[in-house]
Amino acid sequence: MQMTPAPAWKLQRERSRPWLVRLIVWFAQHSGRNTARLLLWPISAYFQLTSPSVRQASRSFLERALGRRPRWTDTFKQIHSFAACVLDRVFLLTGRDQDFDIRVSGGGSGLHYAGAGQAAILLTAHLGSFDVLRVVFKGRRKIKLRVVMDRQQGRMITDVMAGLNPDFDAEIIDAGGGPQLVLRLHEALQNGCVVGMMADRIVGDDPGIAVDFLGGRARLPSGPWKLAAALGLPVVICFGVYEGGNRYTLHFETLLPARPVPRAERADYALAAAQAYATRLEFYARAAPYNWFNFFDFWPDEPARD
Amino acid sequence: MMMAGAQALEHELAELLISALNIEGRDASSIDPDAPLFGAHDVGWGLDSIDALEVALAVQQKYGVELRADEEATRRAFTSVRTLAEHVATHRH
Repeated sequence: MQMTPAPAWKLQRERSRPWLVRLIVWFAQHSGRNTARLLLWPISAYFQLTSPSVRQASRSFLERALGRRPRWTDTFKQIHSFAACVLDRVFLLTGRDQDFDIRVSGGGSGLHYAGAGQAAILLTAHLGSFDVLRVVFKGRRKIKLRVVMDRQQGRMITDVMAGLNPDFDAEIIDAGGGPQLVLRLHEALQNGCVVGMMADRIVGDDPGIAVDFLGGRARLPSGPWKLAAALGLPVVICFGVYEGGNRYTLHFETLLPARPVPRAERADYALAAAQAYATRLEFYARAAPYNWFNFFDFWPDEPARD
Repeated sequence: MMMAGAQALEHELAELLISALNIEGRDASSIDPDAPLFGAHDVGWGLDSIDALEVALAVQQKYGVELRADEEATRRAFTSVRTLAEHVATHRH
């Protein structure tokens, strides 16, 4: 039934092999983080050398974010920090978070709702690490976090991560299964949960919302804004930026206050809200360009630059 | 007698859908009770998942009947106006 073409990011198959991922996880757990990090160099080099589509996507993003022609070292840095964040998931999910230096910036606004047991929608992106957010929430017992994920997408990684930490599985709200998703979200929000989701990749047959992003027109998913408008919930944004070494900084901001939006105004609301999100995402993507982990063409509607 | 009651409830639910979702150009007395609620516009109501939530909230408010996520009964109820009416008839007090 799906008439719209599949989003670019879905066309990339999961490249990693299950046995390879399990081997790396095993090695990381037995050798420790410092030794395991030595693997990041050959792994990053392998991806840079063997994947023209990753190189292409990296260059097209970095040219916009850096405002200059990217060098191969820029692409390598981006792939390397992606690999570093994936590796750190192993340690963050197995409760080894004392090994990390995690700072929170703007937490007063972002964690306010959560701390008060108030429902909120928390939006993030494939910029840095989402798992450091879990760690910060876990440290504050009253806060309940649920994360929307499509279990079918990246199934193998999800299974491996769920094996490392059963709580990880319990807090996932499955994005599959059609109209029931919103009922699931509503039930979690009624229980005062903060519901987190990625707001930078289009899923399913969503036509998306066109926004200005890093000097071009890109499309963002419309779901988060429909949900916020229908339920009148506040929207908080959060990006867990990897700063190198063992340092992460979580940036929180309240993007939109709680306000129910009448149906007639929702289309305009979604346009304005998606653009507001894109503007902040652009700010953080420029500030931490090597944290950008969308390795596909983010501006498919724009003519190629080269 | 049962039949007439079921039809009246279907009509009532069609009206509820139309008012809760601000649907224009659709008349509750001329709808096909078996038309699918979700999916393409040309064959059915063409509702999306946010609409599903608003329908669930409206049904709960009016009849005190809950449509809970991840229950087979909910999946069935959301098939058409007829199945929604059956669900409400079975669960309301």
